[in-house]
Amino acid sequence: MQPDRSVGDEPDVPELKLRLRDVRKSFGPLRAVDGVDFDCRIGEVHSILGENGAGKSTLMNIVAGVLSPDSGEMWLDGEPYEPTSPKRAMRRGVGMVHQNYQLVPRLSVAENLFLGWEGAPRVASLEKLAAIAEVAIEKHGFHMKPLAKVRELSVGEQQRVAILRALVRGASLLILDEPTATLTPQECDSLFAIMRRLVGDGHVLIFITHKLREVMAVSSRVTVLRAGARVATLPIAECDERTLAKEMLGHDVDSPVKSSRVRRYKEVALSLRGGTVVDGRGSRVVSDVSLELRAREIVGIAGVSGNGQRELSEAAAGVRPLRTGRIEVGGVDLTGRGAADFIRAGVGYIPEDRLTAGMVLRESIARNSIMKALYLDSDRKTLTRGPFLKLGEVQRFARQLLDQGQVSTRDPKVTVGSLSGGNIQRLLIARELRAATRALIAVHPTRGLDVGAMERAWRIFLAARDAGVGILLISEDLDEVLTLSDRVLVMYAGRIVGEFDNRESPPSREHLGLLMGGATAAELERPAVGSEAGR
Amino acid sequence: MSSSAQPSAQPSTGRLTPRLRGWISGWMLERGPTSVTRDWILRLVAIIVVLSVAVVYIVATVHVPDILGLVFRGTFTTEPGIQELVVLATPFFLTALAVSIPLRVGLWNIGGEGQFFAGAWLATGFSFWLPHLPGPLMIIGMLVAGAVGGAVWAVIPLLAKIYLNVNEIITTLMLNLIVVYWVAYWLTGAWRYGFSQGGTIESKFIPSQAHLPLLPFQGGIDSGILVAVGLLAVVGFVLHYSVAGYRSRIVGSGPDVAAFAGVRVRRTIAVSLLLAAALAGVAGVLQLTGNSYQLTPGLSNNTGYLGIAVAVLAGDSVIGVGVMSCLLAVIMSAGQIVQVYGVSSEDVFIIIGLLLLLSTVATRLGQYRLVRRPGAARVGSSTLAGAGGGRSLEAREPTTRVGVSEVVSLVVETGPDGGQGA
Ligand SMILES: Nc1ncnc2c1ncn2[C@@H]1O[C@H](COP(=O)(O)OP(=O)(O)OP(=O)(O)O)[C@@H](O)[C@H]1O
Ligand SMILES: [Mg+2]
Repeated sequence: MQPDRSVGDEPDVPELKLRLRDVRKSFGPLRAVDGVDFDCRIGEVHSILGENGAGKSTLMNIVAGVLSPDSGEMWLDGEPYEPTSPKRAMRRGVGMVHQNYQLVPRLSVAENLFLGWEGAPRVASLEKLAAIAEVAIEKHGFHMKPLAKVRELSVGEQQRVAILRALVRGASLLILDEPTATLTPQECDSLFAIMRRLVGDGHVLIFITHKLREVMAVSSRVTVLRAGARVATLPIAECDERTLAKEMLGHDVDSPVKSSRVRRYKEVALSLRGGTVVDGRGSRVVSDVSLELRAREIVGIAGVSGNGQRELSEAAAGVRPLRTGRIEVGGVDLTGRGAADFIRAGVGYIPEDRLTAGMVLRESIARNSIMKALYLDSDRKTLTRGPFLKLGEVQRFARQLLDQGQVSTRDPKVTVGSLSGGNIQRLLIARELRAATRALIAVHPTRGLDVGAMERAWRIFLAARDAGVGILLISEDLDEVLTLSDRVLVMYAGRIVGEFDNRESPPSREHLGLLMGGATAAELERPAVGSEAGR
Repeated sequence: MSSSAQPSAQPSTGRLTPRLRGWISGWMLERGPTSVTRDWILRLVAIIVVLSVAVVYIVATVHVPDILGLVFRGTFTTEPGIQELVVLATPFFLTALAVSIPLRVGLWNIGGEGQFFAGAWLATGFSFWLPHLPGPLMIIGMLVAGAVGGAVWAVIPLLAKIYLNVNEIITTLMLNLIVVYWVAYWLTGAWRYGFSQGGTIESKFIPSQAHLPLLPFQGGIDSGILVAVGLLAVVGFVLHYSVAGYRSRIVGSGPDVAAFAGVRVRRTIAVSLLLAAALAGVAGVLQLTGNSYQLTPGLSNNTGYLGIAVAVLAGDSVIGVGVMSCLLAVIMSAGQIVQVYGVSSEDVFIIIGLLLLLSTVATRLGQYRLVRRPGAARVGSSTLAGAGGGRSLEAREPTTRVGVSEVVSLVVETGPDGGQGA
């Protein structure tokens, strides 16, 4: 029972909400969690930082009863704690909100809250459920309609449903795994408000993120993991972003990424004229958008998710047809052609849904690697003989991508599904960059990457640009957009509502933020706050 | 017990003593990644279990000395036995592929039976319409006709699927019924055998040069098996090593990936289903030219439907299709022998049904494994109360656990006396 390394500085155990000693978990030869001691105090937001594959999700899955440790001991509220399933963890008050929220889209908020919970009333009308849900919503200070269908909610609202679901079940320790990765900046702020409120109500929060700024903003202490081991636990008052990055990476951070000026080429990499796109339900989500992406430039599209960026990116990659308008790649008209022709024309695409669209999780890395290369004449020649694959070459090709993307494994035979979230993204970026000889459509390309990997990805994008690729960067992360872009467009309600030359006269963040929120140019003239209707 | 647990959720411990319960709760089922070998071992176990049940049943109900020996020798060592095995296995290879190939792109082709007859029908017609073709030409022509007939029979479901998204299970199944009457129409009309009124319906015999040659082995083996095994090998090779096979896997992984990867989904689905139906049609031709030499309503002997069972038993492996086809042929053949001793043909289908059920359940259960809980030395720990199962929570290979004690207490509590004790 005696801790070998002192983590908390005071010995009185009851102060601790959660206490882990020498917890280990291996997947085959890989030690994902390698003897971690971890203490979480009552009344704190405890952040967990670490590179992709450091073992953050694995460790927290152990705490939440999703995974079993190979060895180690855990205490919760001073009592031994051995959850053998998420349900049992929940009975002890430990709830986890994963990145996919596991909600049923066609059911209402109220139904989702009670689904699969043994404390839910056995027989109840929807109205009764809604009434109970209403009480819970009020109690925790959330704003949502209990009868709204989850499908109709924004990502941020869905996340709140997932959090509330854990709270309704009596969670006193709430684990949030990269909750901010898919949120807009505004939604992040309201999540932080909720987190502070929960702590005020006596909950304990564990918060996984890659964004140092968020760590500094909400947590009281932070634990840094590296390669499955805990390297430090620090009070937030004693650290800054630099020291955190250094702890995480094990060496000093590189100088910040700066985009050098290059002359864009005359040649147009990709052009869209008068593009209108409808979504799956037939409503028009991109209206009359025209844009021209030159070779050797990065055009950033800033905008709050759900304003048509996804459909715009799909149309630009040939995955979704244009309703009206015309699209050209390298001067060749590809209107009405399928994704295969876009790939052949040299368009790479990093989609928003990397897990469902970009990769087949149950297939091997090798088979995922060649998804694009099979269309490209040069690669096709090495990878195939007539209509058949040369499996040896396929493996070699995959190994190249693993090297280029610095993915944690070098074994192309394992399934993509066994990689950590960030490593899947690294593989995806490597594959798409290789396919992008003319243009790259990158949607939230660094979501889920750790700081080091993110900066490396940025450098890679800049290098690709310098080599003559035109990059359309769609992102909510203003840092990313402003760091990388030569030009910045703002998208709101399916239209381009602003354009800036980011090299000559970079726009201010506030200005961009207001445009992203739907303020019109006229409103921006006035110094008033604008018509923000945030809840 | 634990502070925040719902007291109401504490289950009774049934008749288990706390010690035993504590020991049992030291184990748990953990869901982890499966492997192909594991799946096969589990299937093998299921097969052995079902076959043992069958053996016990036969020994108990058939009062003939050495019945097992009789069945075994009759199936495997006699010339007619071996010939029968080959005849039975031949169509399974193809009708199972007819299910297995579309399944890779996410389609359930339940129409193997209909495609089988459509193929056999067109091949029969071919032989009647061009009765003077020389042997090899005749046989090749009939095989092609069979493939075309089978494929054509899948065109309507295919179009309905790709243009209107009509469920292919229903359309292919319905067409099976239609083909029965279509064939009956010809067997009672133009192709009627002899002049018997109201007797059995069957067609005239196909020309003798349309009969498949016998292989000079064990007193003459039906050479259709070579065609079937050859097609199986080709299909297996293509699916595993070709770009087209690779793309079909992508289509099977979901519409989003397929769109992203630029695979033409409709085309891939069309090729898969038509190829599958063509193979089922060829199965019909092999049965016709190798065995019955006339078209009859019983020509398929249900192989179109049994192909579904074979495909499910085989997982998504082509070699598995080969192995399971042979297994099913053995069961059917042994079944025919025991029927002589009074076991009903339904019993044989019950065995096949059990096999299907158990091996599917086994591979599912195989995702779980029994592991010792860490720190399980502290017996009867307070944290282990109640029933419940985990859920997969991340996009990667999910890992989920169910305590063994839960399973056991579930069994105990729902025992014959409802866990009340005697
Ligand atoms: N089920 C599994 N099978 C095999 N390896 C796994 C499995 N789950 C995780 N791993 C491996 O364990 C390591 C840690 O993964 P984990 O998901 O905990 O990382 P992480 O810190 O959450 O990373 P990220 O920031 O990328 O999400 C990774 O190398 C990952 O590939
Ligand atoms: Mg993770």
